[in-house]
Amino acid sequence: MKTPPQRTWASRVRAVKQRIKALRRPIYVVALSLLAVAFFAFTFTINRRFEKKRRDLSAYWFERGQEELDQSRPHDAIPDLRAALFYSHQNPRYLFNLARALAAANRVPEARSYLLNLLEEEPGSGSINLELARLAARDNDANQTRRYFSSAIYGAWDNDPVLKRQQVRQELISFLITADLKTQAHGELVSYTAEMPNTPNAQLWVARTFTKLGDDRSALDFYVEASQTNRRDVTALLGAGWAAFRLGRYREALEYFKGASALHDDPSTSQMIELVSSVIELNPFDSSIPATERRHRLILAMSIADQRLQACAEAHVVDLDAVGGDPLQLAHSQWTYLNKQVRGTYNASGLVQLLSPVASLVTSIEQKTGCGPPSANDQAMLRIYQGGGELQR
Amino acid sequence: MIDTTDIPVNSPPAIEDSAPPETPAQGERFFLLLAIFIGVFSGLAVVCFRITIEFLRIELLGSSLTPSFPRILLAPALTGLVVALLVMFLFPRVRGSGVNQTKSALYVYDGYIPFRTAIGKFICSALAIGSGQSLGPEDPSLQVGASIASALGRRLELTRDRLRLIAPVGAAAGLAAAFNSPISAILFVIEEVIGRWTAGFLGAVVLSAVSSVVVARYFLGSEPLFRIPRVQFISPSELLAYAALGIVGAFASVVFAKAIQVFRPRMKALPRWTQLFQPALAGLIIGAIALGGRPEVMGAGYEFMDQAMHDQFPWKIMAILAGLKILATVFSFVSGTPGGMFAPTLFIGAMLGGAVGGVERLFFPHLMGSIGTYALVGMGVLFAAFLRAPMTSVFMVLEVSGNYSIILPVILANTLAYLISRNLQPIPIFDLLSQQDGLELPSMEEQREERVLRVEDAMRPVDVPVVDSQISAEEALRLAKEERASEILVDDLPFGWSSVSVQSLREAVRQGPDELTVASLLREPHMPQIYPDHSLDVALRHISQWPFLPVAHRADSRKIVGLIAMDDVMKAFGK
Repeated sequence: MKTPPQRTWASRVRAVKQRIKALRRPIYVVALSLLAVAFFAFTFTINRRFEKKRRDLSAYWFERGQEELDQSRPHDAIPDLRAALFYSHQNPRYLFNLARALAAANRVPEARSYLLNLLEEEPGSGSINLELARLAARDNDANQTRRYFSSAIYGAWDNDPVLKRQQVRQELISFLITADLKTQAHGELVSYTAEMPNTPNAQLWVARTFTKLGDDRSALDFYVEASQTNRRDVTALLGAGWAAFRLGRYREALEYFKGASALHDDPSTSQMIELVSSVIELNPFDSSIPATERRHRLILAMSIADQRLQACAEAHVVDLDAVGGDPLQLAHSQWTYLNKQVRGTYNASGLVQLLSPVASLVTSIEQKTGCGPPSANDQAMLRIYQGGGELQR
Repeated sequence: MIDTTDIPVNSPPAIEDSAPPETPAQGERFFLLLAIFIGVFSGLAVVCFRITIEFLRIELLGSSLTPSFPRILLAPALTGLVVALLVMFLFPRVRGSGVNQTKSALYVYDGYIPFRTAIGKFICSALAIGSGQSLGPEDPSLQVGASIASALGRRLELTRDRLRLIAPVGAAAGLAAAFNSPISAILFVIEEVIGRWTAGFLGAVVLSAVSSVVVARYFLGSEPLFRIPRVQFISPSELLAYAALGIVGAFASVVFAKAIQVFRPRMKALPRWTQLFQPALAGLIIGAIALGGRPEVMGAGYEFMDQAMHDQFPWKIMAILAGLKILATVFSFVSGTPGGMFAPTLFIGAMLGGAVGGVERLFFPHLMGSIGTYALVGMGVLFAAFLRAPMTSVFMVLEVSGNYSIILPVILANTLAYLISRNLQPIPIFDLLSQQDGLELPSMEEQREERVLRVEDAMRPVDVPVVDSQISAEEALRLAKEERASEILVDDLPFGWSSVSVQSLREAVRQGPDELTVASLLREPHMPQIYPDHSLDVALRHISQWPFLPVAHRADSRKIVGLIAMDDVMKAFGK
């Protein structure tokens, strides 16, 4: 049996070299992997450090910009907020505040551009929709404004969503009133009353807004509610007095004015008390008064109207006794006819029938201009007879 | 001229010869794996590069976007001096953008880019851009990626062919990470550096670009360099405005390119000592522009492109910014400061686009979409017109915006800009720069435009007898004599076409039996199949073995539409 040849050192080294060569590629891959890990770790470390620096810088510039924005210095805030954004790309809070600063600086298209981008990311955001609504309102774009306000009302809010929604609806109502969209404003106001907080301020705001919209009945309800919530609220009492007065509910109005005057004596309130008292005394439409009293008040009204007519004739140099085509002469002849009728009527139903023609005549005479300043009685007459004609319950 | 002092006269030896033999498939797999590593390393390098630029910007110009007075003038000027010293005495090969250096590596130096170049490019470009020079980080990133790839390729003893291709693989990785958009980077490298598509190379480029973008996104986030606004294309009539943008962009790009063409050689021709002060002077001028109220021209300017896209500048300001940026970039670039032209090109495009959009809004407010759309299209326009990469420009806009609804305006504006610019400035900017540097690198645009000669341009009608292989040699000889041909074409079904010479036929008739067929005289293998649309290259590969080749019809390969011989090919080339 042959023995295998003895391997020399040289052949062993050669064999090892051969093996290393055969493993060359795997070794390279391992070495590259280790190198990649080391490079990755290095990059990770410097990136983390730099990220912290960026965060600090963005926070610094944001605080600065925010402060300037709060101090109503939007022009100073804009570059600072931009710097904050530079160090924290895509930060929605920074973007939002930059948009607000731009809007405050009257750079509406720029602000809108940012807000629209933000809206794409967060279509249900209440605050973004609200800002967009405000921008649309500046452009008097009622449709867009209403759309964004609605989205804001039904959108998501980070904190205190109920209060935010109420505030947005208030803003929407104010916008609708300004844009003369009173029917829509009234609808929104009614919706608001369903969710409004039970505070005197909110009640007062609602009452005032109803007044602006010409809905005195609702306004009176909310003034009364506000005055009941806070019995020392002079504004609520005065508001209620005025609303009741405009509604022809003079006795109620007098109560509210007296209540207000008791809390805060004011000459204008006293004048109103005087006026309302006169109205109550002179009002022939009150269903609770007897026929004699109604006749007396009608005769008084005719007499005040006559005084006014005489003053007008004097001012315009018109002979009322002559027959002619002058409106004052025509009014005088109507007055003469109606005066006879009033004086000759005693029964209740006849007096009620006369209320309407007397109201019409007195109003036309009291509305005449160029006859000197109207007396308190004239004002009371106009208030009582204008639009009047039927008995008030 | 590109300094070649540290480049070996003969490119590094391919050490493959001493390595154990490997199969082509193994080699291919390793190359692809290496491409992933190149992508990872390039991505990490680009992340470090971006961090360094920003860090230097904060340190040199302050953290505000509007630098204060002493810094705004001193930082770019003094840093320019430092950069000039580094370039003159330590890193002479880092001047310029880096695209041509990568092309040189591919076409001149067998893929060799010294690693020192990567280090020098990194340091000098970061200093220049960080201090406010009007240059961008993309082209340097491309060169850093290419240098890393080249260094790895040499270290891992790749074959010469692979080593040559590895620099563009790294370039794609670097550019992809810098742009955060792999498709555009791949397209740019193919369109501007390589100039051709090959499956093996494409795989490596894609892998490297994707891996580098993954790494870059891990660190820098997946957001694009600027936030993309809502992109809208309102109506087809708006295309007119985009066409106008294409025309304006083309003229702006021509002005930009001409300025570089005129001033760069003049600055280089000045005494050598002046090169020490040229970047400083450029920095001083840029500082003065910034001090004059337009700090937006400093640096790469991505934050201001972002603002332009979000309608943050009036159109007049955008038009002014476009003009000033051209001026600032020309000063920075011709002074020899290392840095890229991609970002300034995009900046100018965004501002021009915004300005055109602003003018349209002024006159036809109901017709137009957002200003951001115009700014975005404007970027593509300048990219197409100035850098002459039309495909990349279209895909870049689509990739960055992620919105395909603007494809029509992008294609229209970019094509117009590209065509006008090509007419007014026939030499593309990268070719111009390489010519100024004394290098005759292949022009990718010329390659694209080059007319390929095809077989149909050279073939002649069938002027030899065509016979069936089953006829007798005697009959074939008679036919050949009748037509006075020296060769006949033989249809040897089902094996294909072949030919036989009259001399062979004569020999066979004289010596052979009476019933000898032509088939028995045919040699193997048969003629290759050539079609009219084949390039002459294909025909040339086979033509030396045959007196002529039959050109078959694509729809019916038995139908011969012509013949082609060496003489015909030569005549076609000589035309």
